[in-house]
Amino acid sequence: MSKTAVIIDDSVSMRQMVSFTLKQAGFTVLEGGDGQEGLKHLDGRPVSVVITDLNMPVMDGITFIRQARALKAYKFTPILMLTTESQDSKKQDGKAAGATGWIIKPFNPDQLLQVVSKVVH
Amino acid sequence: MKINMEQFRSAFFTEATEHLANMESGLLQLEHAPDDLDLLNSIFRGAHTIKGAAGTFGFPDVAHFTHDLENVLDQMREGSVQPNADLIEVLLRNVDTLGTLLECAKTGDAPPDCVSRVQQQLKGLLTLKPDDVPVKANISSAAGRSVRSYRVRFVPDRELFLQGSEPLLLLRELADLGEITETQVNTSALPPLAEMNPEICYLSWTLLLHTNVSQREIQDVFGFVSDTSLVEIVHVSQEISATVDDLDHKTTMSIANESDIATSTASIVATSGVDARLVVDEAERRNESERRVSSRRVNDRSVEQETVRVDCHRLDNLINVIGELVISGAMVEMEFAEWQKQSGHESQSLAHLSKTVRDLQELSLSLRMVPIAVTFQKMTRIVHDLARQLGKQIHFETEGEETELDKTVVDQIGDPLMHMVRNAADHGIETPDERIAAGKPAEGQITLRAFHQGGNIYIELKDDGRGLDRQVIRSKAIERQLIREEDNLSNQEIDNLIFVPGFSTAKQITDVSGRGVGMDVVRRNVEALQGSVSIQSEMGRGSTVTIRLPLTLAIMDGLSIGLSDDVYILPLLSVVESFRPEPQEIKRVATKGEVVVVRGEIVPLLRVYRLLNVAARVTEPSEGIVVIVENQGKKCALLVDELLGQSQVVIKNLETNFHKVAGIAGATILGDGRVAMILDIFGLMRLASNSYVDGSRPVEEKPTPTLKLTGASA
Repeated sequence: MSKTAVIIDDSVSMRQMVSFTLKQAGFTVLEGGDGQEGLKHLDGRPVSVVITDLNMPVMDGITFIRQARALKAYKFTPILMLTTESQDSKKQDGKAAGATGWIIKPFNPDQLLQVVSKVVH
Repeated sequence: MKINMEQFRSAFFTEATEHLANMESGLLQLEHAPDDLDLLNSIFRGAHTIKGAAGTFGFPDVAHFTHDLENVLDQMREGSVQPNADLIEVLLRNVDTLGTLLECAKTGDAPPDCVSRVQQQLKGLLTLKPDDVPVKANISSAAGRSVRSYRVRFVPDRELFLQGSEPLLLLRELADLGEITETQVNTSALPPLAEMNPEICYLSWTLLLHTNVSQREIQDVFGFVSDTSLVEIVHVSQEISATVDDLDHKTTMSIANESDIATSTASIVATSGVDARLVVDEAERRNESERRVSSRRVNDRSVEQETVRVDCHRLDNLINVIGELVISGAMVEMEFAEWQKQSGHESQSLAHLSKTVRDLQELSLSLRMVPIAVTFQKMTRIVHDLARQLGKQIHFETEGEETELDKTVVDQIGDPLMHMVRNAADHGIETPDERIAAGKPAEGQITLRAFHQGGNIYIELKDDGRGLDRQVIRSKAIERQLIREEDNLSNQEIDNLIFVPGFSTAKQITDVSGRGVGMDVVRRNVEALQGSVSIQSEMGRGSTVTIRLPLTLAIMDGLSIGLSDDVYILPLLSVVESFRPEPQEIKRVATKGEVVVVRGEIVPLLRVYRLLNVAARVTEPSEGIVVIVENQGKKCALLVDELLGQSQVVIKNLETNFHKVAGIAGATILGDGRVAMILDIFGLMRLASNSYVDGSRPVEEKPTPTLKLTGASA
């Protein structure tokens, strides 16, 4: 069974890129346009990694991370946040909310996979 | 992995364009609501997303430009910069420039010079934060550096697992950097099994790593955990005291290689995992019902916004194919009805199929419907710019932005709407002084609204400006020989003269509304969309321009009429009534030609067969049928052989398949496979009036292309 990744970003193009890259790497990818859509995917199914943008409408990334972390089934799931280098404080907020790590935008597919490999078996 | 970024770029551009539009409308709103933080956040988000994605998809220019914009917006969010009209103006220009940059990025052209100027302008207005210097991981080549030995001590945070981190992966990554010759795992913190909490990380490690990478790169391995966990990296030659001494020797196990670490960690997790699962199971059972409820709620909410982007051509193809399906369905239905009559057999299944096909068609047409909001937003910007340029105060309001129209209509209504809005702002609304002198508030009001009514969409532009001056219009029209001195026109007819080509009453030709183009272009464009436009105006009080548009361009309710052996379709919406006139109701009037008198009203009679130069069975009106139709407030009576019935027809464009024919709006395929022309009432009126106003030649001799209707070959 392939590993599942959940990618949450309000930017369709970013989502497509991340999603495509992960699919190439053998993941099954679930997408969401905001935190709330992301939570919808966290319905108890096994998830290997969650990648989320921070600044999103409806439910932002920090809130999403906090709520995802509060779910029993995803207590230990690696959650990576997408940030820009100008958002150092956001990085701290994200970590405090339970994020495992971050990927700094802009990034290319190789960089993405490298970071993912840091947190996924 | 080689991944071509190209494939994501078009999605990026689409998305960026949407963000730009949102930012623009957001900024325009911000002018009136400078304290609206939500608004500011959404504008910021637009810039932020574009920046992040632009960098990722290889448009550093765009990313760099957006970075400054984002900074300014961020400072506005923090409250250190207050939005005011000038700042918003500069930001709007920035958004425009960003649009230009994106366009350049798309086409590969070099960005124009104005970019840096606009950027400077932005910088000039603000005290920019020093750019955050990107702290990039230094991935310098390790080659050429000598192998050094480091003692790495890693004491993970007890709650490391709860961050989704896995020490094993970090150790594995560390091992990839070089060679680990010594690994010690410290289990001293491990409590007795009964007290052990499987969610807590009790272990810590000390390793000896031989590598040619820098200390910095070793540090980077622990980048995600360094804030909570203890990581010590010591160059072995500099090591003063033996690190091993720091550890509790009693419980230190020596483990030779990485796989052993794995087994040890795994076994600890496995033994304690049993307990954990029990706890989790019970908690889960307790929460199950709760969870089910909440997940349903989440589902409900997400349903609202889910969209899929589909290429427009594919959509059109789908709609076209479904259109064909409807036609085939109608043919089958007719044949089947015939067969049923003969065989006496009865079946419900065909009726059901027909209904499904109709539903499918309706559904397919709704796919093309998009809200008019985007077009309305553009108008907001136009009014904003114009008001500034003309020194006027204008309050612009839109209503019914959510009203949905066919995508083609939304795309094509933009230009005429822009002309109208410009006219209203330029010619309609007076200067503040003039307004005050006229006893009106200094600020003018323009309202743009869209709404549904009786199968049509209406777009209404209302201003409280000076209104139309009928005296001026009338004399101008006479001067331009558009009407005659003795013509007795109703107020409405006079007002609508402004839609006649070449008519412009602006005293001063401004660079805003230009010369003579304007309302006639509006009318032409609207008519091309099978709509109509009219104006109601009251001098000194303002004007209201109303555009009526069909709900969809692809389908129409039609009245089938017969001329000789051919079938023609009249748009049902234009049909007022039909009857067989008495001979005495037909009269000949010197200026208007043949007319029908309908309850005292004189309506021009158009002989359709003459205008189109086709055959007809009936040439004597009292032996045929006249259909009274109305277009733009004008009525006329069409003489036809017979009425055949009413049907919904799928409109096929004649121009794309043949060429434009005056008096014909399009074609359709009937249920029996025959082709029928859809009559263009306005075009017919124009054909008829041309031949009279010109007075040059009788209609009969006018060379009109002969229409030959042949089977279902269209």
